[in-house]
Amino acid sequence: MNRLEFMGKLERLLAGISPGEREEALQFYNEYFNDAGVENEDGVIEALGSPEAVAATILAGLAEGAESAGEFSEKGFVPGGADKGTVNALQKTDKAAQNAQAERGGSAGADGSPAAGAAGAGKKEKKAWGAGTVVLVVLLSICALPLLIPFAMAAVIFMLAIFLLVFFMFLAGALVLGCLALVGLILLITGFILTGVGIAKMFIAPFGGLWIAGGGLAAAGIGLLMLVGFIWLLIKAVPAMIRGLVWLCGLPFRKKRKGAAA
Amino acid sequence: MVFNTGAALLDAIVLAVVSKEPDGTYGYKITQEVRQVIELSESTLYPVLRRLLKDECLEVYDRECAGRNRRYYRITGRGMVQLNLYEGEWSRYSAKINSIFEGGVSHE
Repeated sequence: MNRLEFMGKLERLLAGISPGEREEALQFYNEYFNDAGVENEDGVIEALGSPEAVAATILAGLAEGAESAGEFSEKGFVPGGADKGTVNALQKTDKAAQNAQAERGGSAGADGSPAAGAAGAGKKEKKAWGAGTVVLVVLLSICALPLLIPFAMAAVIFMLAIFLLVFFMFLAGALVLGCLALVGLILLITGFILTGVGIAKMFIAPFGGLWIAGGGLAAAGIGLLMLVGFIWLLIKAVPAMIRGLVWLCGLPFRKKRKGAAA
Repeated sequence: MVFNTGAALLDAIVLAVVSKEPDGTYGYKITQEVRQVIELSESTLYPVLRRLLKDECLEVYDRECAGRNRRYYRITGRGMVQLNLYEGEWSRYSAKINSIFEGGVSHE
């Protein structure tokens, strides 16, 4: 096996890892061959062992951080399962080193490599889970689309109906109020006229004239009362109604914002 | 060698070797220097370097050398802190082992 064959086989064996990691590893071993020199090519290949062994070491390095991943020693990679005594001893040593670092109270001790590796792996796992959830939600949304579209349409129609209902209620209210004001005004005017007519009639037919004038005054009083009521409603009720209408219009948006916050 | 070199000690040795060169050094040279003191399988160094890079104890840069690019490894400030920790830990550890070997055990 020559260098090219070795590197070709290594590249094929690393096909499963990310392109960035593969490039890094291949570059490292290419440079390694370059720096060793052509005359040492066979020696390097012999020292590296097989492409399979090199690939296994690289892959194990990528998987590092998991408790069972094993460790590197001068003998190469020590798998977590095999040679448990050594691994346990190594882990104990690491733990002791970490404890010592913690005792010194240096925040720099926090980057004890095994712990940092484990934390990194945990983060990665969490991230992957998050992506999975997002994909799941998107898929579910797509599946629910035939159901969601009619539902959304129904919701829009419902909202429109409510809006129209409120609008017409307001219109009707305004009309009633307008009528009230108009009737009040007419009563007031008619009342004054009747009063005038009654007073004029009093000289011809005192009782009839008095009666007409009384009726006219009563009508004017009722008309005045209705007008005052109308003005009062205009001042008090209309702003309240407008506030209510604004609140009602803002309701869907407010709900949305609340949902987004939650 | 009879004794195992654990991951932490291997990290410490590689950090020490790299820190000797202010401008950094390259993979083949690191391997050869580490192999002068411990029996390191040649394929072991890559994962160690990768781990130290990931932990930001080392940084890399490319330098043109004899018409081709060569990747140089250089120790970072964080790497120096880590190396100091390892060295202090090692001197305490080796002193304890030595004290047992040389007979003066009891500190109690």
